[in-house]
Amino acid sequence: MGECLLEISQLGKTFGKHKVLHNVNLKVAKGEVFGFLGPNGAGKTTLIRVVLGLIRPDCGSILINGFNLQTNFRRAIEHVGAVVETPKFYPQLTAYQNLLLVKNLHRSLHKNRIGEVLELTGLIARAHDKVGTFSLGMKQRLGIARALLNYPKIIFLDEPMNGLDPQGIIEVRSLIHHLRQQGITLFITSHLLHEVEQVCDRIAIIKNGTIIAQGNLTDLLRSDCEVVEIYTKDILETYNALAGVAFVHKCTINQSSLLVELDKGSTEHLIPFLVRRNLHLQYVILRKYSLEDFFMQLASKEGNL
Amino acid sequence: MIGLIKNEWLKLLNNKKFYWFLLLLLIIYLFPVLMTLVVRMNTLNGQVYPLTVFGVITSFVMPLFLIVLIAEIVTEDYLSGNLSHTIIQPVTRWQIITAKVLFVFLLLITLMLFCLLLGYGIGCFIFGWGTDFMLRGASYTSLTGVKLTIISYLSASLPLLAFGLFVTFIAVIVQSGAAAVGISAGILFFSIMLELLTEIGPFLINNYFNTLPFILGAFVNPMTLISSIVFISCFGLLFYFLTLVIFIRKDMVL
Ligand SMILES: Nc1ncnc2c1ncn2[C@@H]1O[C@H](COP(=O)(O)OP(=O)(O)OP(=O)(O)O)[C@@H](O)[C@H]1O
Ligand SMILES: [Mg+2]
Repeated sequence: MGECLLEISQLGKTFGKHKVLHNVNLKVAKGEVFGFLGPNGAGKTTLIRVVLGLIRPDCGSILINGFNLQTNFRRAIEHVGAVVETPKFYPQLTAYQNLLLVKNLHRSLHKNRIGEVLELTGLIARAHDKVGTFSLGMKQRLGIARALLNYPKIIFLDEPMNGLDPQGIIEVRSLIHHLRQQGITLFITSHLLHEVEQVCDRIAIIKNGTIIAQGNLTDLLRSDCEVVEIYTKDILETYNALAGVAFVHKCTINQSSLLVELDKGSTEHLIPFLVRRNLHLQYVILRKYSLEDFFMQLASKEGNL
Repeated sequence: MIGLIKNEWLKLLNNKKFYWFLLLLLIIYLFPVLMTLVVRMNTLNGQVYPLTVFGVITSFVMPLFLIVLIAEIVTEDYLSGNLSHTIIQPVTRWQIITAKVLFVFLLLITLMLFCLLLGYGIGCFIFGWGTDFMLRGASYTSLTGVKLTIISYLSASLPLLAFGLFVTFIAVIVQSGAAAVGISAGILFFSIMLELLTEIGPFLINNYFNTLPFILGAFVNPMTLISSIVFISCFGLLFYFLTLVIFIRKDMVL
């Protein structure tokens, strides 16, 4: 891993008796897009709030850009941008004024920068409209504009796609790609696993406040098996036929299809095998082993422990 | 810090409620004019006019305004999630609170000056400047009258600021804007009652809102003025530091 922009070590936080974060260790390298995944209530937002200095941790340390957040807050936070949950604004102020509030707190920023970030997020035409009249998607983009204002080295996006329609999701995703090309490090939390899969280089998965997996996306997704979905009229017969086959690991019946987990590359043997048995195949679809499957697998493993 | 104070002004000047409040002040300053129409008294003139409503303004209107204002810039700012966004900028938490306090102070001075102008403006427009400055049965020269009026108006911002610091303390510990307003207003009215009914007035901050008696009293015995200033400062500083201690440790979960 290259230069480290964010380093979290042995972080812990309890709310009352409830342990929300437990011994969290994370490193995010410069320029990467880091995905932070977990189910509802896992502690993702809490972690972001701790890293931004909004919540005091019980223990552990946080280094941003080499500066210790607890002892050197202003230097640490200077080049950080963030959108925490749905971004909040003053509805009676315009988009421009809302950004001006942030600009006023950074001595080195020039007013022109506000126009630049509004341009980048496609909001320049609405710059002088009150934020109270904005749609959720526009607020989400304005949130990103605000996060970009101070030339951040790292941006935290908490559920950036949450509540957006497909068009909004596409816009935010292309914005994320754009930021990454600029060399900005991104830390994105989500439970929309498929979104994270599309934009992230590395991920960590958190459950009940503990990180249960962390690593390179391609490594984590590498697997020695593949999954196909078989659509057939003879579901039961096909199921029975596959029972004793060596290269089939697992076979489950879905509503109208069969889900078959088998040795990598053995689908080409599976099809002739079924055809030879006169089973009527409609479709055989290769299911990409997605983060979603991975996540479910991990989650269920955890649950079984 | 200057940026933080600028931001508070920007928000205030874009808040419609503020302009309603200025209108309310105008109406209050017109009130004595209406009274003279009803009771046909004609002792008023432009030079004494600002002091006719001074007591009401400083003892009731301004404290209630402060309560609503601070509930908005502290409690509601937090609840709306906007305060969290200020915190993640390169400013420290004590700077955020201190900027809000300084803003309240600047605003108080501005409002007192605005009231002073309203008083003189309306008074002179309706009654003319007049010949003498009669106050509580005593007569002063016009120059002394003007000095007394200006000093009373401006000095009232100090006890009001101290009360504002108390309200800020309430505003950082409660969980809703309505609670901040309710509790602070409740305490204010309770201490107004206490002041009227008991002898503990000197230990109540609202005793000092109307600064005129203290300014007049200082002509006789300057020591009472000094002890008042000491009380007001201690009261304000106590709640300022309590607020800081709580705010700096607070977990911002919104
Ligand atoms: N202020 C608080 N007081 C007590 N418990 C809290 C507080 N904030 C969060 N929690 C608890 O901490 C846990 C983690 O919450 P958090 O909001 O970090 O989850 P999350 O991963 O962001 O979930 P989501 O996907 O729903 O946004 C939850 O169990 C929540 O109930
Ligand atoms: Mg969350």
